[in-house]
Amino acid sequence: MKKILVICGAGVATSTVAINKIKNLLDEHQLAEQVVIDQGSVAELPMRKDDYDLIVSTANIDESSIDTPVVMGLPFLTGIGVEDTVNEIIRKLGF
Amino acid sequence: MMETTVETLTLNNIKTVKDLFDYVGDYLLKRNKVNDSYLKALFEREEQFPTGLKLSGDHNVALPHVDAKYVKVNELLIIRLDEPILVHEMCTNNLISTDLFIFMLIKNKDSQVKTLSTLMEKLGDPKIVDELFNSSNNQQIYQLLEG
Repeated sequence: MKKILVICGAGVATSTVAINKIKNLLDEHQLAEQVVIDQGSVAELPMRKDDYDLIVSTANIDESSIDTPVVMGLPFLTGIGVEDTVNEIIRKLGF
Repeated sequence: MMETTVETLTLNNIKTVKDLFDYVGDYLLKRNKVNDSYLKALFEREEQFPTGLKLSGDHNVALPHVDAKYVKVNELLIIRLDEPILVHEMCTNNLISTDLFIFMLIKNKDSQVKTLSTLMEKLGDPKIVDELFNSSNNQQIYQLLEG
């Protein structure tokens, strides 16, 4: 089972929007049952980052301080470039 | 979106995000739609987590918002500018140019997520975004944005 942490500024709104999109898209790729998705805020990232295979962020974060692979979640909000981003997620999860 | 109202304003002579936020903060405070900490919170939030979004059509958009505790109403305040200004893009922090702002005033925290996700979905359609920019009929805009 792979684990994704989806974060945004407050860990409430945009991350929820992104999570719903990611779940649907993983489902389309028949991967939904192999991935667990959790939600968090930017402030929680330092404590939680090492527990996940991938971070998807809709806020600007300093990637250099994170060993876990990071994917920018902006396309899930704007709808532009969604397919590329999903493929990036799938690749970085190692499927 | 059920209990949310829509208001639209078209503004001239806005050159920066600060001009815009100062105007909107004053406008909302005078109408008792926000508390007196709203403006400060708005600046802090936008600085830390910018809300600009690059869209596929003619207009980009920004969705400035703050925690529900600063807000007394459920309203989408749509601002059109006669000239675009620069805002920071969510996630990348890049500067993008936009003339359309939707101030999300949401006093009920639980409905914040639903309002935002509905809004995001609608903003993916350039025709709806054009209507937001051009329509003078708030009721029509409300119906366009309704879940």
